[in-house]
Amino acid sequence: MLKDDFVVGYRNIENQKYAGASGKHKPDETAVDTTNGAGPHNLQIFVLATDGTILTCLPGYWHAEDLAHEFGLAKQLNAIWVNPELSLADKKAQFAKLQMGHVATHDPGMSKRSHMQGFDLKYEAKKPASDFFYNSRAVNPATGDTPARNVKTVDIVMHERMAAHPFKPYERFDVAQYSDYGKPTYDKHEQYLDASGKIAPGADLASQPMIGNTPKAHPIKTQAKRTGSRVARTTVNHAVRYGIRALMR
Amino acid sequence: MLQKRFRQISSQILVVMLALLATPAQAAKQVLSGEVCSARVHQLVSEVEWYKSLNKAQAEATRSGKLIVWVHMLGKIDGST
Repeated sequence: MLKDDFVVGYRNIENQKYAGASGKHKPDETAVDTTNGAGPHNLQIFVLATDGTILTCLPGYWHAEDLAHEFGLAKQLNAIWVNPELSLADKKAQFAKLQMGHVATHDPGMSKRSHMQGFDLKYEAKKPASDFFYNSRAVNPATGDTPARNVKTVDIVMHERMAAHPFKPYERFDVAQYSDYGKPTYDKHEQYLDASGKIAPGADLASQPMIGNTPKAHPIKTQAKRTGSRVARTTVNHAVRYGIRALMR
Repeated sequence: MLQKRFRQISSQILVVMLALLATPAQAAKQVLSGEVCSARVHQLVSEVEWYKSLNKAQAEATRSGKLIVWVHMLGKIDGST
């Protein structure tokens, strides 16, 4: 599908402020699949029209069959976008309608694969008005507990958020806000997993290299920043002391 | 040259993209060994051209009449992620 139907490209977001963090994985290390929408700060998959208009954006990881299903929606949306007989207002209205209507086309399997993981859910529960809950008052703010039926799956939230951004140009899209849910750090320690999917005995997780917005990912840069701050502080202190002494003379 | 340039690629995104390259029905297994990942990486980067410039991708999309799949990812597609 990728090869035949799309032009494909990527951008490294390692130095973007909105990017999250993760363990650093080499291409030949063990990998695992995970739930749809996991790791939204670390990965965003856009489908764009030829003029750069966003047809859809999937935050985080998505299973292949679900991604293919969403790519189908993007093709439908593109047909609307390039239709010369529709006004911009009509196009935007249809965009929102198709995005929201698409939730009904998600099969139970897709819905099951789109459950937010526990640690992310707890994180969302601490937010005052997370859009992952049908009723925010049914969330215990202290424990984060809420009935399962009160929690939306990521595939629903994704369409709700996307519906609010009809045919937006890529360069004007607030990807940080759009993909903001769950913990900023996402890691499954893939390289330490054995064939059964469990952390191998003796694995040193603390020494795992990191990537993204975490000091562990930039030890040299972080150290230099700390040294720079110390030098700046010392200089300011000296200047203040010198100034006070000078005033007292 | 393209094969060499992109002979390495990330883990999680690969699972998705490679499965799309194969058939939609082939779901990723729970745990993929490093050898399997490595082999699939080679397949992916040798069969698909990955643009680093959105402008160039748009130009190609306009020429070919295709949509663009544009991925934001933590790391380099030809290295660690």
